[in-house]
Amino acid sequence: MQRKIIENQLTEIFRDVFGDRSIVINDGTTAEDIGAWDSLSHMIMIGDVEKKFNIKLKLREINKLKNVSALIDLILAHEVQLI
Amino acid sequence: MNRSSFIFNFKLVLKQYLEKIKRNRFYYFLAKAVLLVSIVVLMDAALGDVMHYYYFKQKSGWIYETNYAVEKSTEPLLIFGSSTATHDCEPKIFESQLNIPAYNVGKDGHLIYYEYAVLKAVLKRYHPKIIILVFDDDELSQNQVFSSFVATLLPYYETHPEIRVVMDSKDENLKYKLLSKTYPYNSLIFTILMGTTEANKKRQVIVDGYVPLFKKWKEKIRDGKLHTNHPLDSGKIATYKLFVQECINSGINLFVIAAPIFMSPNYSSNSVIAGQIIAKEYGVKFLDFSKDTSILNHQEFFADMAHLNNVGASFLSLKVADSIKSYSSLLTEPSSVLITR
Amino acid sequence: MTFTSFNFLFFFPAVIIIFYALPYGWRWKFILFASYFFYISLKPVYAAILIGITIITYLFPILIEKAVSQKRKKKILIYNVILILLPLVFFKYFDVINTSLVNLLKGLNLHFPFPEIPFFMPLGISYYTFMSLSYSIDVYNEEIGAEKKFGIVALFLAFFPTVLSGPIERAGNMFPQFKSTLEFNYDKFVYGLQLMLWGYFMKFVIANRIGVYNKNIFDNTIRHNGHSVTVAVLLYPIQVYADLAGYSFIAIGAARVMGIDVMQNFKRPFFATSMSAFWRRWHISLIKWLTDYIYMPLSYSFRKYKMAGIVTALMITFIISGIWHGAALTFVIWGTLQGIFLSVEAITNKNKKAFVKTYNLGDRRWYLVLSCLFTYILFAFSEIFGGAVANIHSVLLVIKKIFLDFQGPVYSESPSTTLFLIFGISLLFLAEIKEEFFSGSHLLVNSKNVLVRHISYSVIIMIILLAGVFDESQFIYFQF
Repeated sequence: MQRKIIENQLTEIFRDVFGDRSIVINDGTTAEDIGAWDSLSHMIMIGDVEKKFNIKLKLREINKLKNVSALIDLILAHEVQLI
Repeated sequence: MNRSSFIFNFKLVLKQYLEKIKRNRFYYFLAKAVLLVSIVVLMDAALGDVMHYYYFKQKSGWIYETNYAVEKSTEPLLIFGSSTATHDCEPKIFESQLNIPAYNVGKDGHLIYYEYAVLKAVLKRYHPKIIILVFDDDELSQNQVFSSFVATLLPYYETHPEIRVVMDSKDENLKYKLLSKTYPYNSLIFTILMGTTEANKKRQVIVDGYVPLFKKWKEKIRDGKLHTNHPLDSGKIATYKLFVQECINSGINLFVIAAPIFMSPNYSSNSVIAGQIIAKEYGVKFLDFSKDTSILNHQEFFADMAHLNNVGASFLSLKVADSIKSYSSLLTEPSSVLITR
Repeated sequence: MTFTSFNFLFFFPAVIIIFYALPYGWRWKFILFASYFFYISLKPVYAAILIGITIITYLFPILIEKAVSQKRKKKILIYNVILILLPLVFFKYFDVINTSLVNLLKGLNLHFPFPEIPFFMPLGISYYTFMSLSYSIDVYNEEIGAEKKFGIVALFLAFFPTVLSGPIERAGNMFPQFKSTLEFNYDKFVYGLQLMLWGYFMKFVIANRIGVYNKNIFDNTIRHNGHSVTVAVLLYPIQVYADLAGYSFIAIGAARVMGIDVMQNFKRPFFATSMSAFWRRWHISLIKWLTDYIYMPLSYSFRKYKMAGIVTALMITFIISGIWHGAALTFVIWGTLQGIFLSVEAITNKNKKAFVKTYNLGDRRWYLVLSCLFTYILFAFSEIFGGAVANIHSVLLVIKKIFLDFQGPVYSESPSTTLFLIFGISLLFLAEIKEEFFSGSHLLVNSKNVLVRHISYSVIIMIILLAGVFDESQFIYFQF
């Protein structure tokens, strides 16, 4: 359930950063699926994610992200730490 | 055993053999490589033959002039050199002044190595009476902007052992490279195609190897101090000495002339200085026109900084012919003797 | 020896035959031997530098891995990076640093010329320095483990297909391959040879041919009119592409023949419709390197500044890329230009997308063609600073000629040369169009029929023999 909430919040961020209101994401979504998701917009997206969930990601963690599912895992892991 | 069963057996053996090869993929590849190499060799030979045929059938143009210099010339007076020869010396004037047939075997962008190679090819056929070697201001220097004579003479490598020696000294891998029959005609296909057409003759006026230029140089005289005076090249100097020695050995009257250059006289080309010293050593006449004011004072004689136009070429040719006349003990001989020689 | 030297024609087949004749365990050792033979044949001193770098590249990652605290790991990594960069900085920038120091001291009225060192730039040092750095950083980031076998590390840096000009490979991709059995694989083998053949075609028939024309123009710009200079500037990206991508194809092909996969380096860059798309297709291995080790850390540190942070990271990355290409002011300008192009695209990206959507331009062919052309011209212009001409004075002269000198016809050495240029470039673009848009259809070289296939190879070989430029001095002659 928590994953679903995060996914919805991520969808909003993605639509905003990648400038496309029609973006729909799921666990398997990767940069290949979203045209505007390149190394430039990637870091802006990360910045927004950090702000929204009030977490701080490490560069090493960001580099290893493969898809949306991994991003959600990462957010969850950090939120747990916060609690 | 009758004949047909032999064929049958042969087929069987071949089939078994092929299957054996197919099992090992690397050998399978090698077998195919042999096929590829055979096709390449065949194509190369065929194409090389076609190119060879049309190369030697040229009637005008760049290739024809090379071929004439190496294999066809018969004139007792030959003019050697680079573009300063082809544009500055008019054989017709020498013909009328000295009364002997003349030809300009110079080649744009080709310096002493090419000249020496062509001399060897000429001497194999006959001994001219007079040779004029037109000296470029970079004739003996380490200047990279000139063409490789090896590339130009590749089509003669196989048939001309005397040239081969000169070429091998510049590129030791040539004999392997020329395993390809097409390689000598590298980059020539369009030139050859155009050369077989009649229109080719109209592309450029060439009279006995002389290529007149019709434009006039507008820029003011260049300050010699600004001009790069390249250092000398020992290989080129040695080749120049060989050129001179060959002429002396063959009883040829050699005249080396330094071509005029539209530059203030505070410039003295290293090449021209060295050329003059060496000529003196060998007792050969060296005529320096590079600073001759009777030419330098006439900008209208120049087509560009380093070459004369048709008016300048006539003027210089007359001057050179006059000098040769004044030197000539040889002209006491009747000219008819010169021609039949 | 390089790929285009005559000796390579004998070296390569000999290496391959011995390679496959040896038992599996010996194969990688033999390539290491062959690679050093290849590299030493250029100049023995070079090998000493390569060995020095190899030793550092071997030792430090092991130390990093063994270090207990994160702090200590970082410290070792910093020493490592400095040590590895020293030779590159020394050889590439010594000249510049020296002259500027001398000038500076002169300005202070001190005359103390530094000793002039007889200059030799070890070939490939820019490439294997970057490869070495990526390995250490990857170990530091725990993306891969440190390699215990010295020979594998040595082979990674010296591997003869990539040592001179890339692609800039990663340890993570190469180490496991070197350790595999390296069995003979027919499809890889043949594909490798095809790539090599195409690489040679690009290098000899296109790059060298344009090179003759452009050398003529750029070495004597003052004697040529604006039209000719414009043509030369427009031809230059194709020349660099045919040269570098051709060389990469030979490298990738040569590795593939030995069963080793090396990353793609160029992906038909002239079909890119924007500069950012272009940089995803041009010199990919370098851009990936810069992205991973410079751009990403920078943009990560600047991420709270959003777009401003991205732009700063971009500018720094491309200026470093420029300096990597060459130690000169022109290359700094080149890097700055690329940074500006990409920043402008990043900033206007959303608006551009909206515009394209409103007018439904996305699938209009003329719009795509215009975008490609515009990208090409931008890149061609930036390349005036990126090595087309020697120094800033010539750059200014070229630009002045392009915009102010409209006299006379375009220079052509001879009709034959022009025909060769058109012929080569047309073939290149035909092949690229085919690959880009009809990659499903069959090339003649992939025909099912053995004979058709082999005749196609032979035709390409004959074209290289007939139309290639092997000895540039054959043509370098200018009439003014």
